[in-house]
Amino acid sequence: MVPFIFLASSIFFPFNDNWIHIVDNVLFDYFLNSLTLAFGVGFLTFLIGTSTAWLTSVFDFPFRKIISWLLLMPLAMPAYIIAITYVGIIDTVNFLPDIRNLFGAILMISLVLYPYVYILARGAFLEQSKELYESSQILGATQLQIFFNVSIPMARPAIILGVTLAAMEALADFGTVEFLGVSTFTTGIFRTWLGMNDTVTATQMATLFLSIVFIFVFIEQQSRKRVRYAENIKTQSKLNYKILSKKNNILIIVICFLPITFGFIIPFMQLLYWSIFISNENWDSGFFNIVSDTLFLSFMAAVIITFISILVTYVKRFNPNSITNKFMQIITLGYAIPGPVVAIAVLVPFATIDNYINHVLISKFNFSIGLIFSGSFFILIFAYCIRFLTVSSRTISSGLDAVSLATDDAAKSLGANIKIILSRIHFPLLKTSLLTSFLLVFIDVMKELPLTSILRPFNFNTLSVKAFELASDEKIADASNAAVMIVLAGIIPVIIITKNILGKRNKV
Amino acid sequence: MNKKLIISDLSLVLENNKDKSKVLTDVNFDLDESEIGCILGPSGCGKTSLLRAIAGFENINSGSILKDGVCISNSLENTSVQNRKMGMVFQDYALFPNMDVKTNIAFGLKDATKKEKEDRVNYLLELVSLEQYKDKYPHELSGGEQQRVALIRALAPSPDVLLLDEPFSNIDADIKEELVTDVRDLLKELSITSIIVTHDQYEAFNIADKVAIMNNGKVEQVGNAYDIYHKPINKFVADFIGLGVFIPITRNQNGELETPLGLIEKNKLPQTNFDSKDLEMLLRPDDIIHNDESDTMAVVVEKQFRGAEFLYKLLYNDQYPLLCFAPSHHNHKIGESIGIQLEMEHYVIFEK
Repeated sequence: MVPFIFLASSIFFPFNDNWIHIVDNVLFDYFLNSLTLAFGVGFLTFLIGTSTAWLTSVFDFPFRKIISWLLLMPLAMPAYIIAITYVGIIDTVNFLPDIRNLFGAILMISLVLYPYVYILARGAFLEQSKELYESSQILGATQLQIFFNVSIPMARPAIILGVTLAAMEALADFGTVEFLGVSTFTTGIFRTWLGMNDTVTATQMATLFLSIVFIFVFIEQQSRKRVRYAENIKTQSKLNYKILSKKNNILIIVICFLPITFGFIIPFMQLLYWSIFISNENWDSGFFNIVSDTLFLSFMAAVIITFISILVTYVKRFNPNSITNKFMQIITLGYAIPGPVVAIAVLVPFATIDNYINHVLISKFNFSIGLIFSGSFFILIFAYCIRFLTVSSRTISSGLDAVSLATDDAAKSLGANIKIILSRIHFPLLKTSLLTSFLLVFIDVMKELPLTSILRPFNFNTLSVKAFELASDEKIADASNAAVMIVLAGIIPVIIITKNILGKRNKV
Repeated sequence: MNKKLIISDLSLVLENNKDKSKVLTDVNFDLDESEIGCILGPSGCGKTSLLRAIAGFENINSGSILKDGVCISNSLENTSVQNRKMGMVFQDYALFPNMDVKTNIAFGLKDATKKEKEDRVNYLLELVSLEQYKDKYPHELSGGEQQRVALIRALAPSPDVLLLDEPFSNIDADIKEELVTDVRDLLKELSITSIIVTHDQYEAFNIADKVAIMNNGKVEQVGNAYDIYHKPINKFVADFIGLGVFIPITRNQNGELETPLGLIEKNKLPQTNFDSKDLEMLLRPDDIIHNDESDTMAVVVEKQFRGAEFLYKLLYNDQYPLLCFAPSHHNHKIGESIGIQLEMEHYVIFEK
């Protein structure tokens, strides 16, 4: 909270020349590019996600199960890595169009974010009842009419949620747009702050940007209310899969394989190829240092954030009044805030504290202890908390919600105290959620780029930062070792998500 | 005094978010050793809150709860849930999903040896004939089986009083009747003092020795099923329990009651000291007998076939609706006029 109050207070500082320059010349471009990016990604993920979701939930065709799983794979690929890979490919193949522009960025980000829409839309389609479908048929609707007039409107809350999530992530993206040379709000803030060294203007821009993000978050939360409503409708029987002709089967398989091929297979194969045959980077001790640094940082962050989430979730369970709920909502907004904005919001107040401490020490004792917070693990993990507490606390709180309050009461009436309730009932039931939360944060931290690159301690490097640095120096093939490791790690949460979905299916 | 449980003048205020609401007001209720009590009332009347106060989940604001003559709850002191020795069966059973049936049942047996636990679990499983489900998990059981496991889990530590919160609400209608009887037999066999909360009067009549009717946080009447049905003390109880209609009656100078269906003599009435002249009388469907010989005629407005009998909804004198049970071979058409006869044993009369 404190960092954002600090950020908001920046509007009371006088606007300087840079601000005027930015407003006059580039602010409108930033604004337009960010907005185009968000809407473009929203639209493209809607197209890819909804169509593949519908095809895999209504029709039966060979390899349907494996294809519906493969469609999630691009999720393992961070957007900046797929962008790096395609730029590398295009550099070697002349006839392909350049993607170092806004539309390239939209395409790259959409290729890895459409699974958000796909997962949610597919879930919604699968929940739709057979009766509904059959009554549409009896009333004379064709397959396509049912899709546009019944299936899509019924799944609308889920689709809106998926599209908003993708659009917000695009809005918060830093690595991809920076690498592809597209000027958005995120890169603008970064440049003003670290390029022009103008912290005041950067914080003012960040505040403006945050206000826009909150509007998006508000829309998303409104739509989530309706999702809950939609999920309450109990369906009698599940839809049977439709069987099609051979020709149509091939058509569907081709359509579904397009996003899989471009979103995962081609870039991953290319990365593997570079990593094995081309890369000049050796798998030497330097590289293993980076790997161990990355694992250490991800592990620490995952443990700490999961622990904080447990605290927050239990506070909410035992004090379910409106104030704790509001607090939960506020602290979990972080996922919608871009890395550079979080970085500036965290670093500026802590730098002020550092300077103040040193100022006092020098004036009183003529002695300086240097910077305590700036460039420390503390500040880096603090920033990760802001960013990833959402993922973690949602996972844990949905796990805890499944343990009804009556279960606690039952245990108490059988003579159990809090310790026994926690150790014999809550912990066994929460184990999976805790592990999931740990893994999700672990992988997220591992993939994270802007926060880590700005806030990391001196001489401390992670795979994502290394890959991005090498790629920015036009050594794309050399970046492949790190990139391959990041993608391989990214496959783990995809498996978790698939398992969760399958688990839910089996229960129904 | 050998009452097992005494609740006197109990009041409870619950706070949620900003508003406080008084959910229970001056509740009085008691049970003898091994008696089965039932708290019956419409939803939202406070019956579950009363049960939770007895169990110790809510701290009461005034009054007291005594168990075996010892106070376990008043406005100042509350024995903790863990130390009250009350068993509770929850509406959704609240079985621990991570434990199998035998572990669920043994959960409350803390100080027993492994052998003792095993014997107790086996004995209880046998009582409800679920021996073969020992190693199953709750989600593998049907609703009825889960309910029985929840019941014996609550019984396992031999509680002094067993509390059951709507235990039959998730049970299919076709096996419910049998299960209610089974549970009553079991509770009687173990002679355990029990309180059952329900909104279903037939359930209450089948299982309970003593019924308390609750409405708006207050106990309206306590008694056995027969008395509550035939001698309701106010209009709410009369209306809530069983079927019936109210017809307007007036008292004449002689103290007799004039009803649309004829005069009722003074000496038949259970009470005669009414303040007002305008009164109302409760007519149950069994108070009106269908008789083809009778001169009193009423028109059939609606009918419901119930197998052995018909429930006729009649209109008498174009203005008084009446209910009447008739044997099912008396099949009359809607719109037909049929003969009826008033045959009352219990006069239930309220002032208007």
